[in-house]
Amino acid sequence: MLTLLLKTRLRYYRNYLRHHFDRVARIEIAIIILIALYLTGRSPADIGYSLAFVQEPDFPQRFTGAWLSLLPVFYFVAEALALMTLRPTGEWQMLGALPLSKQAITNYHLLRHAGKTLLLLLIGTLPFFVGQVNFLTKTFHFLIALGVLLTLQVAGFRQAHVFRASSPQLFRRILRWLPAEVLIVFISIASTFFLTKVFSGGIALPFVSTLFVCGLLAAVVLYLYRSYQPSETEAAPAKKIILNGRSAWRIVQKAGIIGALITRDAQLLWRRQCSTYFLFLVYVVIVCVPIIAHAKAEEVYASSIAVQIVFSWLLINSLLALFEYDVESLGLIKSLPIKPQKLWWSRWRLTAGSIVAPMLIPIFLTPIKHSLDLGFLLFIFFAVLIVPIVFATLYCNAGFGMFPQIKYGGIILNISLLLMLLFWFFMPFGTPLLLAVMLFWIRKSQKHFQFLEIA
Amino acid sequence: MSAIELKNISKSFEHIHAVRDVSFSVEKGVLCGLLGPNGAGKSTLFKMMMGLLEPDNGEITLNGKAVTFGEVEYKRRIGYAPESAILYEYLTGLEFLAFIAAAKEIPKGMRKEQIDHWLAFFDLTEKGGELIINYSHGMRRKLSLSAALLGDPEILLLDEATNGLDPESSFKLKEYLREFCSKGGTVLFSSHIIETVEHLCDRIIILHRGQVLREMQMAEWEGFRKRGSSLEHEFIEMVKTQN
Repeated sequence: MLTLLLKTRLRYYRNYLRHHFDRVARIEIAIIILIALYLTGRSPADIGYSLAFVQEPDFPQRFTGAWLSLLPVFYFVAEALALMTLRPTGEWQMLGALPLSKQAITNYHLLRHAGKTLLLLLIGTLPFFVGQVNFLTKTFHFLIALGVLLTLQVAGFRQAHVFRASSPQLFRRILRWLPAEVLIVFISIASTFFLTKVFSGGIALPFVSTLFVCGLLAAVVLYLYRSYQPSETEAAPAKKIILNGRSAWRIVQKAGIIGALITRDAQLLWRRQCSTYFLFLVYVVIVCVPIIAHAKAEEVYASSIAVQIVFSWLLINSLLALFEYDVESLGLIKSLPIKPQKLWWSRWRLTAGSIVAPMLIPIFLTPIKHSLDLGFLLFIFFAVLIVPIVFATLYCNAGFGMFPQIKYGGIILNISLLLMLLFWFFMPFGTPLLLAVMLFWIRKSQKHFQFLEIA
Repeated sequence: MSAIELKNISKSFEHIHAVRDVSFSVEKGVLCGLLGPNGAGKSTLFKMMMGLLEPDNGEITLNGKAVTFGEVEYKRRIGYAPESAILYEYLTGLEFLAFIAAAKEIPKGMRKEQIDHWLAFFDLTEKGGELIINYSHGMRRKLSLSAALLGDPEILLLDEATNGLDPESSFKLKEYLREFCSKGGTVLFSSHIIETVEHLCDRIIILHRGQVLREMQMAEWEGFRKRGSSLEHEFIEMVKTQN
């Protein structure tokens, strides 16, 4: 059964790629990946990074130190990925309705989860083979690292499952999830003392440590098997909220097209991905820090802009979800008398607005603490105009221009931003060049959306 | 004047000819049924009329104005309910209709009145404040129809409109469509349920394998009845002959 499930999933991916990319596009992507691998593998100086530190004698110690301190981070990432794997989708209902064994479904989701964390596992274990120590010790270290990471990975999966399916009420779910979460994080931090001794040779019995780690893993897996219940398809019992008379529909009722589109986007985000609002809130809080932390006005401006750039980057990636909702309801949007330009501008205003709004705090607070000067005007120019315009335009271009390939659009968006930043530091004339391309793409992306067919 | 006019419309998807050289026209005030087996090309025709698909050949004219692909203004005068209701599941019914009303640029003072009217018409008033994800299939269909009927459209394109509706709502909808046509509106109503089309429409266009197999007026099927036959029987015979 597990093989069948995995084969079906692989077929699904294959068909997805075939459907979305023709042969030429697939060849192009393969060539790009090969070139990227070649560039990564050959003389690093060509592309501005160096792998020389791997050759240094103290690399194993430094890597081990970093590895130990990042254990809780790995756990959180694994848990977040498991939350994605276990998100309630149509597949849950379908699998729940089939005569599949509990174990088969568990293994299937565990393997999908393992696939998502594979890269992290490789990065977190293979470097243990680098260094001057003998091969047997390296292998032991590798096995211990693998065991610890696998244990954390499985524990993260289990915790994600508790969070997803233990109770329809959020409070109860948190109540069940939190104690174990605290315990796991505590153990992952506390075990660093023991693991440091193991890696430094303080414990002369690698067999014992390997057995210990493997035993821990086995215990977690056993616990998972015994308590895992793919109950009632685990599909989301949709929130039954009644919003009569109180909700934002009154706003929409009085708004023009652009206002209605922005309100719709805000509502959908709130109900389907409220993490974007959380991110926005964090942005608001963090952007206040430079005002308190720095004594000089210039430092406040520079830090605030840096914070704005980082959070704008995160925000536009989060807002890509809006395009995914558009893919689901494209037939509706296209059958309504909404011009693509209006759709484009509504999305642009929402994005630019959410990038600008938190910056109003430093703009209003800085003059209280520091005197007004040319630097302040320059700061306003960047915070209110340049950064929001660049980010929002790039976001809309990528989303509308690559529609309905939103993931592909997201990749292009991030690569473009990365290139713009690199150009800014290493090749300044490249940034305006990219800006020019971006402006040219506004109309192109609108036209692409306008003449999109829905089969 | 014809409200809907299609001239030599064709559409292919890779090697599949979904619609082949289809031409017909529907006069103003006529309730026209588009009948055909599954895969006959009914939904593809609707999508081309609504600008969701671009025809490979031919010309579509709605209310005397040629429709070009990518144009949006004409959609203000058309109400379209697709075969599968496309809705924002995480909006409430009210919010969804308010959004549609704003998108169709219905005057602000009239929006609430129209929304309330259609919610009451389809017996959705009490459910208007619930998220659409909680709606049953029939309720989603009703909401999709409400969205199509908002804004006093001149032409209604209803793709399998009565599917999933309860008998009362289905009856009320049919009554409304008759009244709508008597006031000068035009309806193109697709279905593969022959009885619905037989009892509702003034005129029938039979599609098969992307082509118009036959166009019939009311009088013609009255003739079938007199001969002791039925539209269902005639339809099956026609399709068999073509196969």
